[in-house]
Amino acid sequence: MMALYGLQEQFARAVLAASPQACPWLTPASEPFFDIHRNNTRVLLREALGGVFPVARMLVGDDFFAHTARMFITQMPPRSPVLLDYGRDFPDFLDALPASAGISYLGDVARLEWAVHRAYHAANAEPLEAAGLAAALPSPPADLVFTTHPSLMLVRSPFAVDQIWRIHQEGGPATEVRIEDRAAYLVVVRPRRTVEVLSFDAAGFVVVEALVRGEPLGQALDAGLSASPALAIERLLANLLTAGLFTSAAPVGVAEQADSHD
Amino acid sequence: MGSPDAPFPPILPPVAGIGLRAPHVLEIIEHRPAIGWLEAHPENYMGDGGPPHVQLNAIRQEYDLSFHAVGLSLGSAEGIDARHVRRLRDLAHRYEPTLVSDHLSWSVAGGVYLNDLLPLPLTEEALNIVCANVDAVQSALGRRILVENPSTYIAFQHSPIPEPEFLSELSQRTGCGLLLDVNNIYVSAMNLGFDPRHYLMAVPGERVEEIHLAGHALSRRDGREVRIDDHGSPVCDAVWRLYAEALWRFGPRPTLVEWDTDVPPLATLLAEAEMADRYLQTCREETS
Repeated sequence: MMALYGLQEQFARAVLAASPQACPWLTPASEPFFDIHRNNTRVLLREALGGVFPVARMLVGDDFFAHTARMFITQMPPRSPVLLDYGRDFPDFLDALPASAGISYLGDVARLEWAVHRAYHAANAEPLEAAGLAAALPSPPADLVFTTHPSLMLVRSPFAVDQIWRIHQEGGPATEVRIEDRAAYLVVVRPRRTVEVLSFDAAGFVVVEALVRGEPLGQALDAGLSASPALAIERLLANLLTAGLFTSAAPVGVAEQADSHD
Repeated sequence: MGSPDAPFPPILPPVAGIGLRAPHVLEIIEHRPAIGWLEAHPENYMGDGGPPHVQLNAIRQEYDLSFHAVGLSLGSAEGIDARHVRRLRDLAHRYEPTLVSDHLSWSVAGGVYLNDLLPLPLTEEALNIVCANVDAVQSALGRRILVENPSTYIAFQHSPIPEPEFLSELSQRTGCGLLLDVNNIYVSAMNLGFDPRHYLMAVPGERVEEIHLAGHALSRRDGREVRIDDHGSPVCDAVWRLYAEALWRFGPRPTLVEWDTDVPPLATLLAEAEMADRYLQTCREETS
């Protein structure tokens, strides 16, 4: 008789194995039915991944997705019973697959989907309104430091993955996408109930990145201007402040350290 | 007699409820159909915020709620994931479910979560492990839990304790209640070749605080029939008959209808719950 710890270790290995394994602790009559557990685990985890990465799945098709998911599940099974947390490593896994070379932007689409998924489940927080900003304003605006919304994630790609993502949403635009036409600089955020995917230009994105790192507004705008002297500062500021990227603003030194997010 | 300051713990009424599934959530919030109570998987609500919590809050205001966990892994020899139990505790504080339950099974080994309710060899060693795990969960949550009998497809070479006896002993040692899944009894009985009525007779009825019903699928492996607990069809006649017998033995109990694969329109699930309510009504008339 094997102690339970050892048995569960072997059992788990047999569940995740690519091919059926011998299970000497089972009665011979029931050994063929062990496959039910292998199948349950594979199918349920595949569907969990498919729920988080529906566009990646549509792009590669169900068969390729199932094949890829099976490899991912075997190599990187979940470490938590909360499946909302499962799939963080899937975009990198797709990048590393020789077989996804046919779709070079697949990993980036998956990264965008992961950001949307995390934003959906992130903590709630009231976004900064004009009134809150006015209250922070006695100091020169250049000194302002912003706290980012807990749902905010940044995604960048050399491909227009936001367009790919949008046309695969229900009711999305039915336009032809020329994926290699432009890069994507995206902010994913859920200020209230709906997850927003906001596109910026390269210089605007430099400003957002700097603000998210906790740099004061003046310094962030300088960084943006060095990236592109043509940066339209007023329009960018209006966009930033109405989009709900931040929850508070305070003069540098007063502001608490901005939280970091995954 | 207890002190008037110490009220009885809240219990679910002995009526039918349904499992809360994503495709039905908005319809339930909007139309508030007459449902005795609802049961949710707490793991689906362990994100920090967002629409799922807004929805569960709205539902909690209208309905009694039970938490049916799938991730505690009460049968794991490596013990309970303390972080996961804390997440469950926080969620239970927030939503105050009337019942919290999980399964006599395991899904974690070496820190890896297998997302299936895996069977245990029912030995003295396993009994000690499950008791220690249930104790740990109950003391971390500060409340009793119910433990459910699983569906079984495979038999271990060495599994000397009959399942009802194992559950009975578990309940006596830890004070936990039992969640009796009548469909699981039937599925296991057909797969392993025992009489489901004998199983019912061996269950300590006073420990049964909730009953589950669901549909299962008939499949073939190696030329042999096997019943798969996929919760993907209506409750079958044989399981309704076994349910009637369980009620006759134990008296009316809160009863939940689960449906997880190919989730049908809400109306279909409500019709199944109405059927369960008719059985419960008959049971009350016969025992009054």
